[in-house]
Amino acid sequence: MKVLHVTDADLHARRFNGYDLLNDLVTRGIQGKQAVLRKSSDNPDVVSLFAGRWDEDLQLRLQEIERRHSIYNLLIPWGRLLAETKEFRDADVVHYHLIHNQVISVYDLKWLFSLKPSVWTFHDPWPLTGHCVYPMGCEGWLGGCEPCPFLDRLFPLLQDHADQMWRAKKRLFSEVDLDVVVASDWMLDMVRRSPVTSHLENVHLIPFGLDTRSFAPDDAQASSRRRLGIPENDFVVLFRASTWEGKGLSYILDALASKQPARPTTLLTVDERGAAKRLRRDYRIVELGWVDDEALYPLVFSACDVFLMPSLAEAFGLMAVEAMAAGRPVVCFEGTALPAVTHAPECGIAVPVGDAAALRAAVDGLAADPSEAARRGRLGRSIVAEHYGFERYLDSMADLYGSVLSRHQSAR
Amino acid sequence: MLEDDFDFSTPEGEAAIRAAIGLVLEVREAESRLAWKVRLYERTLGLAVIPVLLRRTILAVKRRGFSLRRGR
Repeated sequence: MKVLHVTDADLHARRFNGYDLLNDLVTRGIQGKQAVLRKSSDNPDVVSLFAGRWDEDLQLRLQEIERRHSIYNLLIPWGRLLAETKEFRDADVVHYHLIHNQVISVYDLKWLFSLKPSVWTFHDPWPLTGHCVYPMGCEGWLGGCEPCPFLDRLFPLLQDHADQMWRAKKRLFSEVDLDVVVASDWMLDMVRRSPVTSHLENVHLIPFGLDTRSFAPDDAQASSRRRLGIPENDFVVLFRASTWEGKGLSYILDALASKQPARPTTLLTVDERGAAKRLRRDYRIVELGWVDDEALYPLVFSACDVFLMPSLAEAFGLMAVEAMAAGRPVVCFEGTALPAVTHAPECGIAVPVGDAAALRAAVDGLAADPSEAARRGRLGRSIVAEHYGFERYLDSMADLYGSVLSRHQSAR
Repeated sequence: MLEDDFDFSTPEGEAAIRAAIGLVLEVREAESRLAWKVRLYERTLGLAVIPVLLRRTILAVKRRGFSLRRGR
């Protein structure tokens, strides 16, 4: 069977955009290809829809036109070119991933879905909303997004056309034969409640899988710390320093700034640099920036004592699962997919949304009680092995592609 | 520019957008043709180099005339 994965870029988000499935599904008899706008790998199984720099320029011009008209993901031509590729024509099943970054027009999706048996992984609630990627407490998506009180949220609109975008999506989903994949109960619940998608019959809950072998065991902590320049005896707090409001960085900074740490503490961050500099007086700060080195990435988790992920918007939270695979406790906010994904309260620690004091108390509790942190870490690792194993993920995806194809073949 | 009250979500709106996408692809196709690239060169970079070439030609002619005069 041949499966084509369609997404915005190949290596960025490779762990869940289909790229890592290309090789691994071969063991299940599935040949994988990937179509992206921008190709950065030299993988021959990846095809770029952009033919050159002039297509980058065209994309910029189209983005500006969409911005001026307060529409999003409508006037985008790449879906038409996708259908002309050999990879699309040869595919038995087409699996769409991150396509809301102006990859395919909403109005071309219906046509594309009619050409090939199609699967779409909802990585976030964007398919259900008027324009935002995450409603973050707003319930407008349940009633048509009219009016939208948060036009400046990602993806922002100048004028309130959110209701039009919502209706466009509702019409799309009312007319398609599509299999939808979600990775968490939280996302499944939204799909079931949304007037846009509640009628869909083929919605599959398949949590992302993780190759647990790549996450180092406990005894690698000292060497990971040496490699990253972190003192061996510090308490190490890891978090993603993303200034996008959905990741909750401001709550982390408030929690850590609220009082001095009881013991020497290093803050280890990934993603944006400079975000934690106001904490420099009380903490040692090690900023790694965006880590795309596959060998370095697992060391980040093995070097830490606790991983903070107080997201306001999270449809799964792969980094939390990676921390669990490395045997580290995770602290998150309630109200997203994370409490269920981390099996809080037994394993993960979920505190009320926006409560920086509770976040700090959870961190202090783990710092003061290493045996409790270790217990949660061990439990996390066993939960990952049971629920988020990569082999199970591959089996589930292979079964899904097989059932999608056979259903479409029998319907012909 | 489209009218402010144009509703993108209607079937008519969808048809307009899909037609516009077709137009975008036609323009893209035209832009990628060699003839278009040559015309673009002539209109932009081609014109920009004319003053430079003219200046160089004048300098070369002047130098030639100067060396001819010295040789006499």
